[in-house]
Amino acid sequence: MNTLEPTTTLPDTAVEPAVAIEHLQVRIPVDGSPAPVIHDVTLTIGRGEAVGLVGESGSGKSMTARALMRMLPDGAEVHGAIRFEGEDVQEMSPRRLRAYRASSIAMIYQNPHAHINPLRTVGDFLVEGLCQVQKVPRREAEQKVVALLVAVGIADGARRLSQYPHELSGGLLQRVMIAAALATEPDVILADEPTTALDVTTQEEVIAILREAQVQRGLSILLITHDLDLAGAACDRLAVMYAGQVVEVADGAGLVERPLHPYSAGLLAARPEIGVRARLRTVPGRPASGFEVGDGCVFAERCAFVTEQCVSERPQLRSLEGRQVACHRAEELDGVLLPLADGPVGADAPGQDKEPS
Amino acid sequence: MRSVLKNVIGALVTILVASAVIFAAMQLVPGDPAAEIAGTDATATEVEQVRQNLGLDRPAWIRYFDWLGGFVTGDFGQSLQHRQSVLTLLKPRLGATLMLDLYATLLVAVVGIGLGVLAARNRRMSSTLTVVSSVFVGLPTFVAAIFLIQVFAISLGWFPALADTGDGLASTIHSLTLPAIALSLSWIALVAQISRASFREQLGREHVQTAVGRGLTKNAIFRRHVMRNGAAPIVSVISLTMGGLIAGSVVVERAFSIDGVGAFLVQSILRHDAEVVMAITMLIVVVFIAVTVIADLIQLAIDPRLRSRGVDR
Repeated sequence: MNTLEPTTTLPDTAVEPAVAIEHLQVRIPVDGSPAPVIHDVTLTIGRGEAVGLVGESGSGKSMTARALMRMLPDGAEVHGAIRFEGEDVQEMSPRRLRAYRASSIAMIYQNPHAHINPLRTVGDFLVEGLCQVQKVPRREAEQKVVALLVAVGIADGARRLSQYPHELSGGLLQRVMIAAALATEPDVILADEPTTALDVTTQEEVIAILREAQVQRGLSILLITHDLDLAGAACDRLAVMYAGQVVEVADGAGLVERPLHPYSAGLLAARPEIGVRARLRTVPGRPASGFEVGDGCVFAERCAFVTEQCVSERPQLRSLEGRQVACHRAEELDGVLLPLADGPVGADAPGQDKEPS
Repeated sequence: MRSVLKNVIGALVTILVASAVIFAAMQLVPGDPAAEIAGTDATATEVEQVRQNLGLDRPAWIRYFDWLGGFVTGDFGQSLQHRQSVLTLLKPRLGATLMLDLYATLLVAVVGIGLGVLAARNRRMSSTLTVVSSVFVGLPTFVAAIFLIQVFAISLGWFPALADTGDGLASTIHSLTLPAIALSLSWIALVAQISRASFREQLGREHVQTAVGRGLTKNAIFRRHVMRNGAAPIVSVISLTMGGLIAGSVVVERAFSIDGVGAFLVQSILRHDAEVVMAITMLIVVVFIAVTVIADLIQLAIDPRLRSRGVDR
């Protein structure tokens, strides 16, 4: 556990990024008719880069990850491109798709107790990818995963192999899940809220383990979380998502110090701060899901700076000062949002008297 | 280990209670066995003599323990009608019924679960199963028996209409095929529906998502993460099925003229042959409870969570 501080390795732009998502749009059937859950997600993950995908519940973070695994619900309509090392994931044959899932990409889930078969031993779970898919002999696979368990901080790995998932705590089982993900030596790891179900000290350890794996194994990581601080500490770049759209992409420090999108500023203001005993500020209004927003900006309903244009025309993600933001008024608001982030957002802003429903 | 012991003790207590109920019920049946055996023109003293010879003049609770003790040691008493030991009467019939019920259970398990697997994995199979199985679930056993005899025994002549359980295993199995199918049809339909629902539920579970995300084939996912995980309700239903099969075999044995325990039970009830009725009823209770215990043990073997938390979870 030696690398909590961010790495300095920048993504190599000369080669194809590990993952490139362009203008992803996903609609899934709700009561028979397709409803949009992702409006416009454009995101790249460089080789060896850790990207944090941050947003509230229902903003489409997990859907984005599932689209990347091509594990969307039945009947989902997908537009836009999802490329892994230049190859379109949507175009993969069933056989190629299985191989891709087996050895190129791995997912770590929020709730290990639900995501690991309770009737099979921890050892079965750990070696499954190696033995079932890559046809590695069981004994060899076990040796490999015991070494990986040591790497994720489980010293008595050999004993753990014969235990059942319910005999392990959430934190321990999450380490097992990480070890299982690392076992097949993937290029990309998708971590979907990997620490949400864990207590704070365990959270830090799990993030440190992921960070270490990223650095030592040259992994690309997509960390999905609603915890901005956590993402900032663990990732090279952050992408903020709201209602199915990526609204801002920036490096961690840049985002925290000078958010360009009003929603990012709202998220920052909503963070609880240790030592300050005040009523927690929230982003006014209710978080919208992808299928609730109209033609305009996805955040227009809750934004303190909304204009006519915001309601009628959806802003696209565009580059601004080496970062990316999807806001019509980004230039005007640059630098204005930070003090607002420290004060109440939206509540006393002019031209705004919306009731949170 | 403790949970296994608990299961077995519970089963023994249940059998004991059932034996008391069965014995008490037989005492309440109208009619005087001593008078029946002595004959219609016997005098009161002659009847009393018979009663004393049979030991029927002793208090009920002594006769109960006498009977229970005999049952435990394998002595099922004497049939007053046949004037033979109940065991001698039961032995040949037990074999036929056991074969029939095992055959039917095997059909229920294999065909029922098989159809459930197909339906869980294939949408079109699933809707077909819904229609077909709802017809068969409600099909009375005797209707199924008559239909099968008409088509496969009389019209096609593939199987005998009257089952012969005498000579050779192969011919016994052949002649028990129609009865076993008649017996199992409605249970196959039930087990198929339950298995489909259970496998479907498992397919939607998060751990199956994990397996999909690891690039396992559909077959491997079904085998490793669906079958065993969905087994619990299926094991329960099949254990109930075996109870239902014992009841159903009474009908089927009559339809196919099999001289089995079911047919013998009906006969003995009609003849007021108390000893035989009690013995068969007790056997049914014991078999049913044994099946239940075995089913519980299988559940323990399937799910490690039950093992470590005990059974009273």
